[in-house]
Amino acid sequence: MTRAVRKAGMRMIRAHNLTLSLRDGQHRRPVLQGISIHIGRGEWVALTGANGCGKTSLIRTFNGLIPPSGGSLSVAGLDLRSPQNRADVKQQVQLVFQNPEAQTVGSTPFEDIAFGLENRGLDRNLMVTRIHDILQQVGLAHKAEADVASLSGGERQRLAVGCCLALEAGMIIFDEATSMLDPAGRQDILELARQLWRSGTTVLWVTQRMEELAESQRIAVMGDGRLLYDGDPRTLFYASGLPDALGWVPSPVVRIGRLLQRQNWPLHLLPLTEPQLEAML
Amino acid sequence: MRIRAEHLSFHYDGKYAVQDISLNIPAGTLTVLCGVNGSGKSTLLRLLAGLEHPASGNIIHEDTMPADRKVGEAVAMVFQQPETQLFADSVHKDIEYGLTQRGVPKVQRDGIIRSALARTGLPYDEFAGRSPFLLSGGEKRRVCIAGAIASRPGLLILDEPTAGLDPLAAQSLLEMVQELRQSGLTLIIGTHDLDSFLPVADGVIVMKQGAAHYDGPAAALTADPGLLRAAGLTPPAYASLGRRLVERGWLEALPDNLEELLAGLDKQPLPVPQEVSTPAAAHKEPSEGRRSETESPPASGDAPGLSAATIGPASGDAPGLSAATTGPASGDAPGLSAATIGPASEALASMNPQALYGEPATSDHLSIKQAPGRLRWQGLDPRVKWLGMIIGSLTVLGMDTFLPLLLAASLLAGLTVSAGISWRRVFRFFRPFLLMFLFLWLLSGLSWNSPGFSIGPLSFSSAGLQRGGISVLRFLLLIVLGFLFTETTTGAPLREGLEWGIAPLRHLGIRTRNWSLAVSVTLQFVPWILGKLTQLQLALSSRGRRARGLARWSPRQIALIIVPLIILVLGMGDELATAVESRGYDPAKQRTPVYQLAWNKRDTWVALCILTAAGLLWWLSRIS
Repeated sequence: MTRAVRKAGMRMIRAHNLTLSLRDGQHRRPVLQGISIHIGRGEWVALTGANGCGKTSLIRTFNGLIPPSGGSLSVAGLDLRSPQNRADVKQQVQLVFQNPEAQTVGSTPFEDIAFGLENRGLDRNLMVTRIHDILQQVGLAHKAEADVASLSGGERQRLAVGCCLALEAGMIIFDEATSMLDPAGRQDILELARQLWRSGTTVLWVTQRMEELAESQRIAVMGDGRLLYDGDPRTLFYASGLPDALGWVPSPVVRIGRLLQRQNWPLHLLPLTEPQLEAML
Repeated sequence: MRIRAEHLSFHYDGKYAVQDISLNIPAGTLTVLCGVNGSGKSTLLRLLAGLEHPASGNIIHEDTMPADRKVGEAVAMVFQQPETQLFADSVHKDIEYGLTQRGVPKVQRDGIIRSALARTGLPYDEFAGRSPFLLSGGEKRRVCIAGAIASRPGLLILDEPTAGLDPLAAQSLLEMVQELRQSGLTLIIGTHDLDSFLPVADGVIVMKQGAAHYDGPAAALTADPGLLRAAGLTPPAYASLGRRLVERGWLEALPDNLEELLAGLDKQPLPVPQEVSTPAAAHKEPSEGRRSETESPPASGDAPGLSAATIGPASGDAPGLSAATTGPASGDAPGLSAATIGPASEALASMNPQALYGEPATSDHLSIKQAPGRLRWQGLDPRVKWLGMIIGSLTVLGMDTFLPLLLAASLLAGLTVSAGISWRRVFRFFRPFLLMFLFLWLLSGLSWNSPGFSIGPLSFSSAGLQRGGISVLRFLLLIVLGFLFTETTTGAPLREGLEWGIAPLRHLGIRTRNWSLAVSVTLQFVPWILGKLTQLQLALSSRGRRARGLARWSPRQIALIIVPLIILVLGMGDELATAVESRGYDPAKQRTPVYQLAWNKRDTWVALCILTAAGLLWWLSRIS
């Protein structure tokens, strides 16, 4: 393996000064204005930003659905300025969307997982074994032949994750995948994502929930097509001033943390999650 | 308005959704109704809104200003995700619809709409003329609430008002709700967001398995978090943390909200904890965020960032790493949330298959499969079923007398029974069609020139009724054929069968694979569209006149529903296309179908039977 290949292999996403403008009537509207971000293989990054800040566009450029207008972007070592590479990267970087209803192509979980594998031209017997493995992995083995309409929102999102696994995606982007679920379903999908992350999958977790942000070790914040912050949660919530500037509603734990900060607690002791805070008390 | 409910019960399919609930909600209060999905929360809200009728028990509305409004207008309800239920092309018209339905004179409407919009924080001049479909999520929700309060209800019911909103929009919606409460409106709010709503609630009802698990002030829930946990809910952060602080003697009394907790902590500063280890110890390439090679797998339920008990070194720490630094404590704190939510959530999710939609009443029964008859039908080659559907449709289209049509109808009814499809499912599927067809049939019988008989002011001709009856029945039978086919065939065989059939068209340059995929996906979404239709009907009926039976399918109702329905379908189509594309679908590439077509002897027999039956029916329709 040459050095160059290995180096490329270390990074899942390498964006440098990435720009994107989309046609909006007669004008071209700038959507992404110079984004530079590196995401290593096997990393967990949380991405946030207000609606319409360009999050979804950025994600769709990452998985090759939209070609970048300028700058450079390579995903899994492939330069996405080339259409062929964009087609290849679609499988490697998979998306789980917000609406659980709109992602199932098959009429049973079995068929839905099969759809992605069929497109890859896999051998039939191998495919059946693989489908059952994946259903097992996402906890839907007992519902393999159920009508997808009978699945709960959380189960449908698990199925969508299963489809990403069928394509052997190296990276999964969860685009506010829990925002339409109830607390139990939300916890369920978050836990599944963590499991995959622990087994080596790169995860980009897009969310507007403060609790989910605070649980991630690296947070990227977008605003108006730009990357406003890329770093750890403590600096973001307690030292950057950005949350107030953006008008965020801090989570209860962070509000308590800010009080402790005023009482001269050192930055690295300030709590981010409820269990962390409870453990300190 | 004061609401009293006595021994309310309601069931779906013999199972209690709401069981013996008695409530007393004083006027001008804000009551929070919480419970996991499937606990009966949404059903209770709809019962209180008068959109469903209890199987037993009754609801008494004690209106303080009854002179002001008519019966049935006292309660307004806003559903989950109401933004999918906007109808008109301007905000003004959308709110006006409800007022028109309630017979408010035109001169009064402008003022009412103006004040309703103002109360929901939307200035009239800025918003009234805009299309509701182009507003932000939070603004759409305000329009829906404005529409609900425009009729000056005594009780406003909101189902998950903040779900799916970004934190800022959720926060300002919460403030708006408080203002409504201060203006004297009685509110009942179903929500999962206890952190936001418990502090502002006058009373809380916790539902568990269809019964009221707790009914009382919010303070008791803060004092005893076990009450919420027993119902499968997570207590708000200020409650669990406050309790801990009180136990340690750092806070004097249990806080009723986060502000109280913060004020208490401000008075009595917490000691800075001792650092457990040097910050450097746990760091491992934080910029890379990669897992360390030596890291032991975190305990299940442990999270990437949930470096729970890591007091010292957590900043910039690789996710999950901290488990190692804090052995026993991590099993305690993070395990807590995992233990309460993890296994319970699975059981709950399987309890209520339609958890997301919060609509257990409408669509969860459309999904039970696997009767023995069903399996027999599923075993057939899809090509036989395609043949049956096409030949059957052609034969039915060729019928223009009652005898063959009725024979075909009984044949299809027999087949439906043999396929093991439950009557309930059939009924739910056909209900919207039946009413619409009945309407069309009556319409076709209307006659002014040569009336045969008349009912009230309407005159009907029997010849017209007969002609109409035949075309309506013919159309209905076509739908039955389609229903039978899709009920007994899942997507993959359906697609493969079709692709086999239209394969010759490939030589003409037609992308047969695209077509078969499109057809199978579309058919799969017919039940989804019907489900959405029912939801929209319900939303419409909550806006004004309670249309029942036939009136629900009047052209006017349908015209109102069609816009939001088309928006839903288009949005769905767009998202599905993306899903198909990102799953590596490429019509030009080689594909290996997991389902393989296999023609058996049984298929030949069935094909012969289909042809014979079709031939006989065709012959009958020629001679009769």
